[in-house]
Amino acid sequence: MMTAKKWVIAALAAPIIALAALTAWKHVRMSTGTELVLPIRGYDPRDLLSGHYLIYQVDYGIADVCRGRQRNPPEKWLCLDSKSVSNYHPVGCEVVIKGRCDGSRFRAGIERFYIPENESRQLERLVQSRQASIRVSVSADGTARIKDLLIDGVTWKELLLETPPAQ
Amino acid sequence: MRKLEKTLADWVGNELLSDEQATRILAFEKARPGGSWVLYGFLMLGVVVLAIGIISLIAANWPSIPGLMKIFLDFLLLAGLGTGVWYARERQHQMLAELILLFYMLLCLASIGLISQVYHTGGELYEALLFWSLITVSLVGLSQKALAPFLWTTGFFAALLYAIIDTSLFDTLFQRQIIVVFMTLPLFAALLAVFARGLGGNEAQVGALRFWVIIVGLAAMAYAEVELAFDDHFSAAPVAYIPAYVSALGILAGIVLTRQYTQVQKILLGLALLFYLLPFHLIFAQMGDKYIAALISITLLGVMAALMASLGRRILFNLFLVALGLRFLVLYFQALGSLALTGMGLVGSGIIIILMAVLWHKYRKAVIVWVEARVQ
Repeated sequence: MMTAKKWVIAALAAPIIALAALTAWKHVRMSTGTELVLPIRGYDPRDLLSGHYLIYQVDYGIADVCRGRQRNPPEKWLCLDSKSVSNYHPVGCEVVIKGRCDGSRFRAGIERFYIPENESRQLERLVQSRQASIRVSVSADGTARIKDLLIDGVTWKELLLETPPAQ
Repeated sequence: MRKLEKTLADWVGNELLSDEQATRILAFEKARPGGSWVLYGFLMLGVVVLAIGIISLIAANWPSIPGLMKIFLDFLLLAGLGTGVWYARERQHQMLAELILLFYMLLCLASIGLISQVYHTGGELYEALLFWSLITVSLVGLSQKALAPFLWTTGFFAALLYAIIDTSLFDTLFQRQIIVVFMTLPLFAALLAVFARGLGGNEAQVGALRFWVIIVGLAAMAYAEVELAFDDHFSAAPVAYIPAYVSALGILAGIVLTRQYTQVQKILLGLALLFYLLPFHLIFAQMGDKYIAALISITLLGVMAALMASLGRRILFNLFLVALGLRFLVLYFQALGSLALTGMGLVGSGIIIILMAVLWHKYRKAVIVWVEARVQ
Protein backbone atom coordinates (compact mmCIF):
# COMPACT_ATOMS: atom_id res chain seq x y z
CA MET A 1 0.00 0.00 0.00
CA MET A 2 2.83 2.40 0.90
CA THR A 3 4.60 1.56 -2.38
CA ALA A 4 1.45 2.36 -4.37
CA LYS A 5 1.10 5.68 -2.53
CA LYS A 6 4.70 6.55 -3.30
CA TRP A 7 4.08 5.83 -6.98
CA VAL A 8 1.06 8.14 -6.96
CA ILE A 9 3.06 10.93 -5.29
CA ALA A 10 5.90 10.43 -7.78
CA ALA A 11 3.46 10.51 -10.69
CA LEU A 12 1.88 13.75 -9.44
CA ALA A 13 5.24 15.39 -8.72
CA ALA A 14 6.91 14.38 -12.00
CA PRO A 15 5.45 17.19 -14.18
CA ILE A 16 6.38 19.87 -11.62
CA ILE A 17 9.92 18.54 -11.31
CA ALA A 18 10.26 18.44 -15.12
CA LEU A 19 8.95 21.99 -15.50
CA ALA A 20 11.22 23.22 -12.70
CA ALA A 21 14.19 21.60 -14.43
CA LEU A 22 13.20 23.26 -17.72
CA THR A 23 12.92 26.66 -16.00
CA ALA A 24 16.26 26.25 -14.26
CA TRP A 25 17.96 25.25 -17.50
CA LYS A 26 16.57 28.22 -19.40
CA HIS A 27 17.45 30.59 -16.57
CA VAL A 28 21.04 29.38 -16.34
CA ARG A 29 21.47 29.53 -20.13
CA MET A 30 20.13 33.07 -20.19
CA SER A 31 22.19 34.26 -17.24
CA THR A 32 25.54 32.90 -18.42
CA GLY A 33 27.40 33.54 -21.64
CA THR A 34 28.55 36.64 -23.48
CA GLU A 35 26.10 39.55 -23.55
CA LEU A 36 25.50 41.37 -26.87
CA VAL A 37 23.18 43.99 -28.27
CA LEU A 38 21.99 43.34 -31.85
CA PRO A 39 19.81 45.71 -33.96
CA ILE A 40 16.42 44.43 -35.30
CA ARG A 41 13.36 45.32 -37.45
CA GLY A 42 9.92 43.76 -36.67
CA TYR A 43 6.09 43.14 -37.00
CA ASP A 44 3.39 41.39 -34.91
CA PRO A 45 1.53 38.10 -35.48
CA ARG A 46 -0.09 35.87 -32.82
CA ASP A 47 1.09 32.67 -31.26
CA LEU A 48 -1.90 30.79 -29.83
CA LEU A 49 0.10 29.14 -27.11
CA SER A 50 2.37 31.95 -26.00
CA GLY A 51 0.55 35.18 -26.66
CA HIS A 52 1.55 38.19 -28.76
CA TYR A 53 5.10 38.44 -29.89
CA LEU A 54 7.26 40.53 -32.15
CA ILE A 55 8.92 38.73 -35.02
CA TYR A 56 11.87 40.51 -36.49
CA GLN A 57 15.05 40.10 -38.44
CA VAL A 58 18.29 40.44 -36.55
CA ASP A 59 21.05 42.47 -38.16
CA TYR A 60 24.27 40.57 -37.55
CA GLY A 61 26.24 42.85 -39.87
CA ILE A 62 26.84 39.93 -42.25
CA ALA A 63 25.40 39.90 -45.78
CA ASP A 64 23.95 36.82 -47.55
CA VAL A 65 24.11 34.41 -44.63
CA CYS A 66 21.62 32.12 -46.37
CA ARG A 67 21.97 31.83 -50.13
CA GLY A 68 19.43 29.98 -52.27
CA ARG A 69 16.76 27.48 -51.17
CA GLN A 70 18.12 24.55 -49.24
CA ARG A 71 16.39 21.26 -48.45
CA ASN A 72 17.28 20.10 -44.95
CA PRO A 73 19.49 23.14 -44.29
CA PRO A 74 22.53 22.37 -42.18
CA GLU A 75 23.58 24.39 -39.19
CA LYS A 76 25.28 27.70 -39.91
CA TRP A 77 27.74 29.43 -37.64
CA LEU A 78 28.20 33.19 -37.60
CA CYS A 79 31.43 34.60 -36.23
CA LEU A 80 30.60 38.11 -35.12
CA ASP A 81 34.29 38.99 -34.60
CA SER A 82 35.29 38.46 -38.21
CA LYS A 83 31.73 38.85 -39.68
CA SER A 84 31.98 35.48 -41.41
CA VAL A 85 29.72 32.47 -42.01
CA SER A 86 30.71 28.82 -41.88
CA ASN A 87 29.11 25.36 -41.77
CA TYR A 88 30.99 24.36 -38.62
CA HIS A 89 31.96 25.91 -35.27
CA PRO A 90 34.76 28.35 -36.18
CA VAL A 91 37.96 27.97 -34.19
CA GLY A 92 39.42 31.03 -32.49
CA CYS A 93 36.26 33.12 -32.74
CA GLU A 94 35.17 34.72 -29.45
CA VAL A 95 31.50 35.32 -30.24
CA VAL A 96 29.73 32.67 -32.31
CA ILE A 97 25.99 32.36 -32.99
CA LYS A 98 24.54 29.08 -34.20
CA GLY A 99 21.41 28.78 -36.33
CA ARG A 100 19.77 27.41 -39.46
CA CYS A 101 18.62 28.86 -42.76
CA ASP A 102 14.85 29.04 -43.33
CA GLY A 103 14.75 29.97 -46.99
CA SER A 104 16.82 33.13 -47.21
CA ARG A 105 16.52 33.91 -43.49
CA PHE A 106 18.96 32.91 -40.79
CA ARG A 107 17.20 31.72 -37.64
CA ALA A 108 19.05 31.45 -34.34
CA GLY A 109 15.98 31.08 -32.10
CA ILE A 110 16.08 34.75 -31.06
CA GLU A 111 13.76 36.10 -33.73
CA ARG A 112 10.75 36.67 -31.50
CA PHE A 113 10.07 38.58 -28.30
CA TYR A 114 6.90 38.15 -26.25
CA ILE A 115 5.04 41.35 -25.50
CA PRO A 116 1.92 42.27 -23.48
CA GLU A 117 -1.30 42.16 -25.47
CA ASN A 118 -2.30 45.72 -24.57
CA GLU A 119 1.01 47.23 -25.62
CA SER A 120 1.56 45.18 -28.78
CA ARG A 121 0.50 47.83 -31.31
CA GLN A 122 2.36 50.62 -29.52
CA LEU A 123 5.53 48.55 -29.28
CA GLU A 124 5.28 47.54 -32.92
CA ARG A 125 5.11 51.25 -33.91
CA LEU A 126 8.05 52.10 -31.67
CA VAL A 127 10.15 49.26 -33.06
CA GLN A 128 9.44 50.35 -36.61
CA SER A 129 9.95 54.09 -36.03
CA ARG A 130 12.97 54.02 -33.71
CA GLN A 131 16.21 52.12 -33.36
CA ALA A 132 15.26 48.79 -31.83
CA SER A 133 17.66 46.09 -30.67
CA ILE A 134 17.73 42.98 -28.53
CA ARG A 135 20.06 42.18 -25.67
CA VAL A 136 21.10 38.54 -25.93
CA SER A 137 23.26 36.12 -24.04
CA VAL A 138 25.41 33.79 -26.18
CA SER A 139 26.86 30.60 -24.71
CA ALA A 140 30.09 28.94 -25.75
CA ASP A 141 28.30 26.48 -28.03
CA GLY A 142 26.76 29.33 -30.03
CA THR A 143 23.25 29.18 -28.55
CA ALA A 144 21.77 32.64 -28.17
CA ARG A 145 19.05 33.59 -25.63
CA ILE A 146 17.09 36.83 -25.51
CA LYS A 147 17.39 38.90 -22.35
CA ASP A 148 15.56 42.07 -23.24
CA LEU A 149 14.18 44.36 -25.95
CA LEU A 150 15.78 47.80 -26.23
CA ILE A 151 14.42 50.82 -28.07
CA ASP A 152 16.89 53.66 -28.55
CA GLY A 153 19.06 51.89 -25.96
CA VAL A 154 16.31 51.92 -23.29
CA THR A 155 14.41 48.82 -22.14
CA TRP A 156 10.90 48.63 -23.60
CA LYS A 157 9.24 48.72 -20.17
CA GLU A 158 10.96 51.99 -19.25
CA LEU A 159 10.10 53.48 -22.65
CA LEU A 160 6.42 52.56 -22.40
CA LEU A 161 6.25 54.29 -19.03
CA GLU A 162 7.70 57.44 -20.60
CA THR A 163 5.72 57.30 -23.87
CA PRO A 164 1.95 58.08 -23.93
CA PRO A 165 -0.09 55.63 -26.11
CA ALA A 166 -0.97 56.88 -29.64
CA GLN A 167 -4.56 58.27 -30.00
CA MET B 1 -29.69 3.56 -16.58
CA ARG B 2 -32.66 3.49 -18.91
CA LYS B 3 -31.12 0.55 -20.75
CA LEU B 4 -30.66 -1.31 -17.48
CA GLU B 5 -34.26 -0.62 -16.48
CA LYS B 6 -35.47 -1.97 -19.79
CA THR B 7 -33.29 -5.07 -19.50
CA LEU B 8 -34.43 -5.76 -15.94
CA ALA B 9 -38.08 -5.33 -16.93
CA ASP B 10 -37.50 -7.84 -19.73
CA TRP B 11 -35.96 -10.37 -17.33
CA VAL B 12 -38.75 -9.89 -14.78
CA GLY B 13 -41.28 -10.38 -17.58
CA ASN B 14 -39.59 -13.68 -18.51
CA GLU B 15 -39.44 -14.72 -14.83
CA LEU B 16 -35.62 -14.75 -14.76
CA LEU B 17 -35.62 -12.30 -11.84
CA SER B 18 -38.17 -11.37 -9.20
CA ASP B 19 -39.52 -7.82 -8.87
CA GLU B 20 -37.68 -7.45 -5.58
CA GLN B 21 -34.33 -8.51 -7.09
CA ALA B 22 -34.74 -6.11 -10.01
CA THR B 23 -35.54 -3.23 -7.61
CA ARG B 24 -32.48 -4.00 -5.49
CA ILE B 25 -30.20 -4.17 -8.57
CA LEU B 26 -31.52 -0.83 -9.79
CA ALA B 27 -31.05 0.79 -6.39
CA PHE B 28 -27.48 -0.54 -6.18
CA GLU B 29 -26.56 0.84 -9.63
CA LYS B 30 -28.09 4.24 -8.93
CA ALA B 31 -26.15 4.53 -5.67
CA ARG B 32 -22.84 3.67 -7.38
CA PRO B 33 -20.45 6.71 -7.15
CA GLY B 34 -19.49 8.53 -10.37
CA GLY B 35 -22.28 6.91 -12.34
CA SER B 36 -23.69 10.05 -13.96
CA TRP B 37 -21.98 10.35 -17.32
CA VAL B 38 -23.93 13.48 -18.22
CA LEU B 39 -22.72 15.32 -15.12
CA TYR B 40 -19.19 14.06 -15.75
CA GLY B 41 -19.29 15.27 -19.34
CA PHE B 42 -20.37 18.78 -18.43
CA LEU B 43 -17.88 19.03 -15.59
CA MET B 44 -15.05 17.96 -17.90
CA LEU B 45 -16.17 20.53 -20.47
CA GLY B 46 -16.08 23.19 -17.76
CA VAL B 47 -12.55 22.17 -16.77
CA VAL B 48 -11.34 22.30 -20.39
CA VAL B 49 -12.88 25.75 -20.92
CA LEU B 50 -11.33 26.92 -17.63
CA ALA B 51 -7.91 25.69 -18.71
CA ILE B 52 -8.22 27.43 -22.08
CA GLY B 53 -9.11 30.61 -20.18
CA ILE B 54 -5.95 30.25 -18.09
CA ILE B 55 -3.88 29.84 -21.25
CA SER B 56 -5.48 32.95 -22.69
CA LEU B 57 -4.73 34.94 -19.52
CA ILE B 58 -1.11 33.84 -19.75
CA ALA B 59 -1.07 34.87 -23.39
CA ALA B 60 -2.20 38.36 -22.31
CA ASN B 61 1.19 38.59 -20.61
CA TRP B 62 0.60 41.01 -17.76
CA PRO B 63 3.65 43.25 -17.73
CA SER B 64 3.21 44.38 -14.12
CA ILE B 65 4.05 40.92 -12.77
CA PRO B 66 7.75 40.00 -13.05
CA GLY B 67 8.43 36.86 -15.08
CA LEU B 68 9.85 34.83 -12.20
CA MET B 69 6.87 35.74 -10.02
CA LYS B 70 4.51 34.48 -12.71
CA ILE B 71 6.43 31.21 -12.85
CA PHE B 72 6.42 30.92 -9.05
CA LEU B 73 2.63 31.43 -8.90
CA ASP B 74 2.23 28.91 -11.68
CA PHE B 75 4.21 26.29 -9.79
CA LEU B 76 2.20 27.05 -6.67
CA LEU B 77 -0.99 26.38 -8.62
CA LEU B 78 0.43 23.16 -10.08
CA ALA B 79 1.44 21.96 -6.62
CA GLY B 80 -2.04 22.81 -5.35
CA LEU B 81 -3.65 20.81 -8.13
CA GLY B 82 -1.35 17.84 -7.54
CA THR B 83 -2.22 17.94 -3.86
CA GLY B 84 -5.90 18.19 -4.77
CA VAL B 85 -5.68 15.04 -6.90
CA TRP B 86 -3.94 13.23 -4.04
CA TYR B 87 -6.55 14.16 -1.44
CA ALA B 88 -9.49 13.44 -3.77
CA ARG B 89 -8.10 9.96 -4.45
CA GLU B 90 -7.47 9.34 -0.75
CA ARG B 91 -11.09 10.24 0.02
CA GLN B 92 -12.42 8.09 -2.86
CA HIS B 93 -13.89 11.11 -4.70
CA GLN B 94 -13.21 9.66 -8.13
CA MET B 95 -14.98 12.30 -10.22
CA LEU B 96 -13.32 15.18 -8.35
CA ALA B 97 -9.91 13.53 -8.74
CA GLU B 98 -10.48 13.16 -12.50
CA LEU B 99 -11.53 16.79 -12.88
CA ILE B 100 -8.52 18.14 -11.00
CA LEU B 101 -6.22 15.73 -12.85
CA LEU B 102 -7.49 16.97 -16.21
CA PHE B 103 -7.03 20.59 -15.15
CA TYR B 104 -3.53 19.76 -13.90
CA MET B 105 -2.61 18.19 -17.26
CA LEU B 106 -3.88 21.16 -19.25
CA LEU B 107 -2.19 23.62 -16.91
CA CYS B 108 1.12 21.84 -17.58
CA LEU B 109 0.70 22.81 -21.25
CA ALA B 110 -0.05 26.39 -20.22
CA SER B 111 3.07 26.33 -18.01
CA ILE B 112 5.26 25.37 -20.97
CA GLY B 113 3.87 28.37 -22.83
CA LEU B 114 4.46 30.63 -19.82
CA ILE B 115 8.10 29.52 -19.45
CA SER B 116 8.78 30.05 -23.15
CA GLN B 117 7.13 33.46 -22.90
CA VAL B 118 9.15 34.57 -19.85
CA TYR B 119 12.44 33.46 -21.40
CA HIS B 120 11.47 34.45 -24.96
CA THR B 121 12.37 31.05 -26.33
CA GLY B 122 10.84 30.16 -29.66
CA GLY B 123 9.86 26.75 -30.94
CA GLU B 124 7.10 24.96 -32.78
CA LEU B 125 3.82 23.87 -31.23
CA TYR B 126 4.72 20.22 -31.82
CA GLU B 127 7.85 20.62 -29.67
CA ALA B 128 5.73 21.94 -26.81
CA LEU B 129 3.21 19.11 -27.28
CA LEU B 130 5.91 16.43 -27.33
CA PHE B 131 7.47 17.81 -24.13
CA TRP B 132 4.00 18.07 -22.58
CA SER B 133 3.28 14.44 -23.54
CA LEU B 134 6.53 13.33 -21.92
CA ILE B 135 5.99 15.14 -18.61
CA THR B 136 2.29 14.24 -18.23
CA VAL B 137 2.44 10.54 -19.12
CA SER B 138 2.56 9.74 -15.40
CA LEU B 139 -0.68 11.70 -14.89
CA VAL B 140 -2.39 9.69 -17.63
CA GLY B 141 -1.43 6.58 -15.69
CA LEU B 142 -3.51 7.85 -12.77
CA SER B 143 -6.63 8.53 -14.82
CA GLN B 144 -9.63 6.20 -14.61
CA LYS B 145 -11.74 7.93 -17.26
CA ALA B 146 -11.35 8.31 -21.02
CA LEU B 147 -10.92 12.05 -21.59
CA ALA B 148 -7.45 12.58 -20.10
CA PRO B 149 -5.87 9.60 -21.95
CA PHE B 150 -7.67 10.63 -25.13
CA LEU B 151 -6.35 14.19 -24.92
CA TRP B 152 -2.87 12.90 -24.21
CA THR B 153 -2.79 10.47 -27.15
CA THR B 154 -4.22 13.12 -29.49
CA GLY B 155 -1.55 15.63 -28.48
CA PHE B 156 1.23 13.05 -28.62
CA PHE B 157 0.43 11.54 -32.01
CA ALA B 158 -0.39 14.86 -33.66
CA ALA B 159 2.94 16.26 -32.46
CA LEU B 160 4.84 13.11 -33.44
CA LEU B 161 3.37 13.09 -36.95
CA TYR B 162 4.19 16.76 -37.44
CA ALA B 163 7.70 16.30 -36.08
CA ILE B 164 8.39 13.38 -38.43
CA ILE B 165 7.00 15.10 -41.52
CA ASP B 166 8.19 18.63 -40.97
CA THR B 167 11.63 18.32 -39.42
CA SER B 168 14.88 16.67 -40.32
CA LEU B 169 14.96 14.74 -37.04
CA PHE B 170 13.74 11.48 -38.53
CA ASP B 171 15.05 11.91 -42.07
CA THR B 172 17.76 9.27 -41.69
CA LEU B 173 15.11 6.74 -40.72
CA PHE B 174 12.00 7.57 -42.72
CA GLN B 175 13.67 9.59 -45.50
CA ARG B 176 10.53 11.77 -45.64
CA GLN B 177 8.53 8.89 -47.14
CA ILE B 178 5.04 9.82 -45.93
CA ILE B 179 3.60 6.44 -46.86
CA VAL B 180 6.05 4.67 -44.54
CA VAL B 181 5.33 7.18 -41.76
CA PHE B 182 1.60 6.54 -42.11
CA MET B 183 2.21 2.81 -42.08
CA THR B 184 4.28 2.99 -38.92
CA LEU B 185 2.16 5.28 -36.74
CA PRO B 186 -0.79 2.90 -36.14
CA LEU B 187 1.66 0.08 -35.44
CA PHE B 188 3.50 2.28 -32.93
CA ALA B 189 0.18 3.17 -31.29
CA ALA B 190 -0.72 -0.54 -31.13
CA LEU B 191 2.69 -1.30 -29.58
CA LEU B 192 2.08 1.38 -26.93
CA ALA B 193 -1.33 -0.19 -26.28
CA VAL B 194 0.37 -3.57 -25.75
CA PHE B 195 2.82 -1.96 -23.28
CA ALA B 196 0.04 -0.08 -21.52
CA ARG B 197 -1.97 -3.27 -21.08
CA GLY B 198 1.13 -5.12 -19.89
CA LEU B 199 1.86 -2.40 -17.32
CA GLY B 200 -1.64 -2.77 -15.91
CA GLY B 201 -3.28 0.04 -17.83
CA ASN B 202 -7.04 0.32 -17.51
CA GLU B 203 -9.59 0.24 -20.31
CA ALA B 204 -9.71 4.06 -20.62
CA GLN B 205 -5.96 4.31 -21.15
CA VAL B 206 -5.66 1.38 -23.54
CA GLY B 207 -8.85 2.41 -25.30
CA ALA B 208 -7.44 5.85 -26.13
CA LEU B 209 -4.45 4.24 -27.83
CA ARG B 210 -6.70 1.71 -29.55
CA PHE B 211 -8.79 4.59 -30.94
CA TRP B 212 -5.71 6.03 -32.62
CA VAL B 213 -4.69 2.62 -33.93
CA ILE B 214 -8.02 2.25 -35.70
CA ILE B 215 -8.47 5.80 -36.97
CA VAL B 216 -4.91 6.31 -38.19
CA GLY B 217 -4.81 2.72 -39.46
CA LEU B 218 -7.89 3.27 -41.64
CA ALA B 219 -6.45 6.57 -42.88
CA ALA B 220 -3.11 4.88 -43.59
CA MET B 221 -4.78 2.11 -45.60
CA ALA B 222 -6.68 4.64 -47.68
CA TYR B 223 -3.50 6.64 -48.24
CA ALA B 224 -1.59 3.52 -49.32
CA GLU B 225 -4.24 2.65 -51.90
CA VAL B 226 -4.28 6.17 -53.31
CA GLU B 227 -0.48 6.05 -53.59
CA LEU B 228 -0.71 2.70 -55.38
CA ALA B 229 -3.27 4.08 -57.80
CA PHE B 230 -1.27 7.13 -58.82
CA ASP B 231 2.36 6.31 -58.26
CA ASP B 232 4.06 2.99 -58.87
CA HIS B 233 7.55 4.40 -58.35
CA PHE B 234 8.73 4.05 -54.81
CA SER B 235 12.23 4.30 -53.53
CA ALA B 236 12.26 4.10 -49.74
CA ALA B 237 15.22 2.16 -48.44
CA PRO B 238 14.51 -0.90 -46.26
CA VAL B 239 15.77 1.02 -43.21
CA ALA B 240 12.61 3.17 -43.40
CA TYR B 241 10.55 0.08 -42.61
CA ILE B 242 12.51 -0.87 -39.49
CA PRO B 243 10.34 1.02 -36.96
CA ALA B 244 7.24 -0.60 -38.47
CA TYR B 245 8.74 -4.09 -38.37
CA VAL B 246 9.97 -3.64 -34.81
CA SER B 247 6.53 -2.44 -33.76
CA ALA B 248 4.86 -5.34 -35.61
CA LEU B 249 7.10 -7.86 -33.84
CA GLY B 250 6.32 -6.28 -30.50
CA ILE B 251 2.60 -6.40 -31.25
CA LEU B 252 2.85 -10.05 -32.32
CA ALA B 253 4.64 -10.93 -29.10
CA GLY B 254 1.95 -9.09 -27.15
CA ILE B 255 -0.79 -11.01 -28.97
CA VAL B 256 0.86 -14.38 -28.36
CA LEU B 257 1.62 -13.75 -24.69
CA THR B 258 -1.65 -12.14 -23.62
CA ARG B 259 -4.32 -14.12 -21.84
CA GLN B 260 -6.92 -11.51 -22.72
CA TYR B 261 -7.83 -13.07 -26.09
CA THR B 262 -9.02 -16.51 -27.15
CA GLN B 263 -7.07 -18.52 -29.74
CA VAL B 264 -9.48 -17.52 -32.49
CA GLN B 265 -9.14 -13.86 -31.58
CA LYS B 266 -5.35 -14.17 -31.61
CA ILE B 267 -5.49 -15.69 -35.09
CA LEU B 268 -7.72 -12.85 -36.27
CA LEU B 269 -5.32 -10.27 -34.79
CA GLY B 270 -2.37 -11.91 -36.47
CA LEU B 271 -4.18 -11.97 -39.81
CA ALA B 272 -5.15 -8.33 -39.38
CA LEU B 273 -1.51 -7.43 -38.78
CA LEU B 274 -0.41 -9.35 -41.88
CA PHE B 275 -3.06 -7.84 -44.15
CA TYR B 276 -2.28 -4.38 -42.80
CA LEU B 277 1.42 -4.65 -43.66
CA LEU B 278 0.90 -6.09 -47.15
CA PRO B 279 -0.41 -3.05 -49.10
CA PHE B 280 2.58 -0.92 -48.11
CA HIS B 281 4.90 -3.51 -49.58
CA LEU B 282 2.98 -3.74 -52.84
CA ILE B 283 4.17 -0.28 -53.80
CA PHE B 284 7.65 -1.17 -52.64
CA ALA B 285 7.51 -4.26 -54.86
CA GLN B 286 6.23 -2.09 -57.75
CA MET B 287 2.99 -4.06 -57.84
CA GLY B 288 0.53 -1.24 -58.46
CA ASP B 289 -2.50 -3.47 -59.01
CA LYS B 290 -5.77 -1.98 -57.78
CA TYR B 291 -7.49 -5.40 -57.55
CA ILE B 292 -4.81 -6.90 -55.32
CA ALA B 293 -4.96 -3.81 -53.11
CA ALA B 294 -8.77 -4.01 -52.97
CA LEU B 295 -8.69 -7.69 -52.09
CA ILE B 296 -6.22 -7.08 -49.28
CA SER B 297 -8.11 -4.14 -47.78
CA ILE B 298 -11.49 -5.92 -48.02
CA THR B 299 -9.98 -8.96 -46.32
CA LEU B 300 -8.44 -6.79 -43.60
CA LEU B 301 -11.69 -4.93 -42.94
CA GLY B 302 -13.60 -8.23 -42.85
CA VAL B 303 -11.10 -9.72 -40.39
CA MET B 304 -11.34 -6.64 -38.17
CA ALA B 305 -15.14 -6.74 -38.27
CA ALA B 306 -15.07 -10.41 -37.26
CA LEU B 307 -12.63 -9.62 -34.45
CA MET B 308 -14.81 -6.80 -33.11
CA ALA B 309 -17.84 -9.08 -33.25
CA SER B 310 -16.01 -11.74 -31.25
CA LEU B 311 -14.95 -9.12 -28.69
CA GLY B 312 -18.52 -7.84 -28.40
CA ARG B 313 -17.58 -4.31 -29.50
CA ARG B 314 -20.68 -3.35 -31.41
CA ILE B 315 -19.73 0.22 -32.36
CA LEU B 316 -16.36 -0.80 -33.77
CA PHE B 317 -17.96 -3.76 -35.52
CA ASN B 318 -20.37 -1.40 -37.25
CA LEU B 319 -17.53 0.99 -38.11
CA PHE B 320 -15.60 -1.75 -39.89
CA LEU B 321 -18.73 -2.96 -41.65
CA VAL B 322 -19.36 0.56 -42.94
CA ALA B 323 -15.74 0.81 -44.08
CA LEU B 324 -16.09 -2.58 -45.77
CA GLY B 325 -19.23 -1.49 -47.54
CA LEU B 326 -17.56 1.68 -48.78
CA ARG B 327 -14.59 -0.28 -50.00
CA PHE B 328 -16.87 -2.62 -51.95
CA LEU B 329 -18.49 0.41 -53.53
CA VAL B 330 -15.14 1.89 -54.53
CA LEU B 331 -14.07 -1.47 -55.94
CA TYR B 332 -17.10 -1.73 -58.13
CA PHE B 333 -16.61 1.77 -59.48
CA GLN B 334 -12.99 0.93 -60.18
CA ALA B 335 -13.81 -2.37 -61.85
CA LEU B 336 -17.02 -1.72 -63.66
CA GLY B 337 -17.21 2.02 -64.19
CA SER B 338 -20.85 2.43 -65.19
CA LEU B 339 -23.67 2.87 -62.68
CA ALA B 340 -25.75 0.06 -64.21
CA LEU B 341 -22.99 -2.55 -64.05
CA THR B 342 -22.01 -1.37 -60.58
CA GLY B 343 -25.63 -1.69 -59.48
CA MET B 344 -25.90 -5.27 -60.72
CA GLY B 345 -22.62 -6.16 -59.09
CA LEU B 346 -23.74 -4.69 -55.78
CA VAL B 347 -27.08 -6.51 -55.87
CA GLY B 348 -25.25 -9.78 -56.36
CA SER B 349 -22.76 -8.97 -53.60
CA GLY B 350 -25.55 -7.95 -51.24
CA ILE B 351 -27.31 -11.29 -51.76
CA ILE B 352 -24.03 -13.14 -51.14
CA ILE B 353 -23.34 -11.14 -47.96
CA ILE B 354 -26.86 -11.83 -46.60
CA LEU B 355 -26.53 -15.55 -47.34
CA MET B 356 -23.09 -15.65 -45.69
CA ALA B 357 -24.40 -13.81 -42.63
CA VAL B 358 -27.29 -16.27 -42.23
CA LEU B 359 -24.99 -19.27 -42.65
CA TRP B 360 -22.45 -17.79 -40.21
CA HIS B 361 -25.18 -17.17 -37.62
CA LYS B 362 -26.37 -20.76 -37.97
CA TYR B 363 -22.99 -22.52 -37.92
CA ARG B 364 -20.63 -20.09 -36.09
CA LYS B 365 -20.39 -22.12 -32.88
CA ALA B 366 -19.41 -25.24 -34.78
CA VAL B 367 -16.80 -23.28 -36.76
CA ILE B 368 -15.29 -21.73 -33.62
CA VAL B 369 -15.10 -25.10 -31.84
CA TRP B 370 -13.48 -26.65 -34.94
CA VAL B 371 -10.87 -23.85 -35.20
CA GLU B 372 -10.03 -23.89 -31.50
CA ALA B 373 -9.67 -27.70 -31.52
CA ARG B 374 -7.14 -27.49 -34.35
CA VAL B 375 -5.19 -24.62 -32.81
CA GLN B 376 -4.82 -26.42 -29.49
